[in-house]
Amino acid sequence: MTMKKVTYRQAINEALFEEMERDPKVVLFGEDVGTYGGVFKVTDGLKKKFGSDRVFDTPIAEAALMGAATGAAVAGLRPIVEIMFMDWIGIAMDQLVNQTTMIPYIWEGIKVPLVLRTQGGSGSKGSCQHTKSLEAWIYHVPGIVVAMPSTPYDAKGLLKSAIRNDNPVAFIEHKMLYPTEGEIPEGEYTVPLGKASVKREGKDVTIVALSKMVVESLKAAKELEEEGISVEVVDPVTIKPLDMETIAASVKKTNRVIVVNEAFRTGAVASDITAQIQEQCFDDLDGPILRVTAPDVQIPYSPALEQFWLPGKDKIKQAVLASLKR
Amino acid sequence: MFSTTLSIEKLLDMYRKLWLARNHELLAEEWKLNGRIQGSVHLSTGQEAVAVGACAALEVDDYIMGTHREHAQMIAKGVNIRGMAAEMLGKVTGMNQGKAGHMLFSDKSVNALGGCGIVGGGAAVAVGYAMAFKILGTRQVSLAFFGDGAFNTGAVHEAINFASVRKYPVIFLCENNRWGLTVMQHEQTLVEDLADRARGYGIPGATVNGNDVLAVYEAVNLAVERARAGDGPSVVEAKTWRMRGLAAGYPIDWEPKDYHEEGRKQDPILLFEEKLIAKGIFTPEKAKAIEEETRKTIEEAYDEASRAPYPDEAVFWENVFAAPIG
Ligand SMILES: Cc1ncc(C[n+]2csc(CCOP(=O)(O)OP(=O)(O)O)c2C)c(N)n1
Repeated sequence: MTMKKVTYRQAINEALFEEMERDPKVVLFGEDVGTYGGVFKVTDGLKKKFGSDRVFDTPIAEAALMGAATGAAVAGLRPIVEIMFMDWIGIAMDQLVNQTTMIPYIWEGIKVPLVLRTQGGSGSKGSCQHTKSLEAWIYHVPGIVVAMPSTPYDAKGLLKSAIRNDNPVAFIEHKMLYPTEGEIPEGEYTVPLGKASVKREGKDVTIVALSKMVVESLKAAKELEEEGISVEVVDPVTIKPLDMETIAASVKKTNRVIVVNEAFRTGAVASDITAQIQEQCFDDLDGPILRVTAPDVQIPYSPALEQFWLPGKDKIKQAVLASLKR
Repeated sequence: MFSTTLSIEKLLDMYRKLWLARNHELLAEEWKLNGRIQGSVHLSTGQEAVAVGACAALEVDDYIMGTHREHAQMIAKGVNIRGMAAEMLGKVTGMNQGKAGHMLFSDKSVNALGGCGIVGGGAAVAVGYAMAFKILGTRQVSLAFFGDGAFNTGAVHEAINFASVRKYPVIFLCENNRWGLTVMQHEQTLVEDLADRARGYGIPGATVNGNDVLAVYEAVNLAVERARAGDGPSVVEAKTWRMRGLAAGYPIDWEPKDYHEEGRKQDPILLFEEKLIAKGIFTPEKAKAIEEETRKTIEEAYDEASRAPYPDEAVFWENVFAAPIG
């Protein structure tokens, strides 16, 4: 297969192009996604190519956006709706909890094939209303698939699967990953939902990391290798449903686990992954599962303060060393 | 010529605040572009008269709630410029110790509470300020700034209707620069004069030229009188022009040319200056002196801020809970 190098942003953009080309029922809307091509330029060129019936800017109206995507999905379209920053997902949340995910279960036989695209993550000096990672809120709700890819390869292939899937899917991007580069095939490919990806093999410790924390964990693993510590990095890619089979196989091999999640600690997805591992892999564990998360603190603006909030390579290394001492 | 009941001292203070805000925006833009301010910076260059006219009708005790485009609003309310500059740089001497950054800062000493990066969200908080004033029996009012884009959100609609039916002393000030981020007003609503919506809430609404600082003052002053008399809220729409892109560094070459031409023609500082000179209140020389003095004030504030220390880790952990528990 011939490969090419693209950014995470381009990878997502390509997936959108290809799926809109493939299926005329796919439509895309949200704030500033049309003419301007998105504040992060992820939807660049789509309106020009597919026209303003299928790709359009909306008023600032997150609740109505989520509700309308839901209704349009019920009535025969395959909408992709963008909530620009996850910090204000709360405005759309009622629709998501009480309509989008209610309908397929309660109104038997009706499907809601939509994709909610949004992005979170800190490191942009965006202060606390433009940097939060609130995937745990969506993760908590039954009936929605939640994807958090960390590489261009996964982002493109997974988004294509998400658009073709008949369930509601939340596709959560990370703003600091948009410019990162990776290899993808020249031609058509997909990445299945619900399948984890081992990003690095190792034998001493397993790190289960989400989104940008995969990148940080790989950096940590590389440095630890020089100290003679072999780290395996597992990226769930889809966090719900979680591919426990892949995670359990890794734990069986290493017997030690760190879960890394850039989010407020209490009630983070990391807490739930930790619980699932200890329930299913208790006999394989040589010590407690450790979590590397952000603290339960609002995200401050000052570059000098933001660093205390952000989890990253150094905190991950410390956790690995601590885990080996137990 | 114009007639006004305002004192010469007050008129000069308004003129000075216009320049203070303009010079702040010019310097903040420069510092953002050369990397000395981090994160995104939404400039209100060209829109200063909305904030200055509105705040001229308020007392220090009155509260304002600003927007993500808050600099002129905060300066108009009289915040400490040095504290503001330091906040923009994330320094510990900033008015929120560097935690807020440019979109969220607040200064309790003048009841500028505060900026808001969630479009539309602040209007609801301003209703709460007014609720407290009414129930506590003070004579204060609150004023919520919000944009034309924000006027399409559920939060603003709910806030206005709620305040109307409860007759809370709040002024809803729509700072209409005809833009969301990249989407113009006419693509977000079919309503031309947004104050027309006031009728739908059963309260008064007025549309004024937001670049005419005295027109804004007169309209807001009427609304304040009504609020203080216990008759409830009003909507004031001030139409204005932003002279820059959606934030510092964003291009305007793709935006409609006539919009920007009109904006330059209607420079609010020049409009006011001409009137003051025609009325014999001051001279071009005096105008120049005020321009210079305010530029120096801003420069000195930023110079001092750039030499100030960053907050340390202790600041990070402060106020996670601001009150004792248990
Ligand atoms: C709830 C919410 N939705 C979307 C955004 C992204 N956003 C930031 S500013 C903006 C445009 C706001 O337009 P307007 O209210 O007219 O204010 P202006 O920027 O023109 O001052 C948008 C959509 C946001 N910050 N909050």
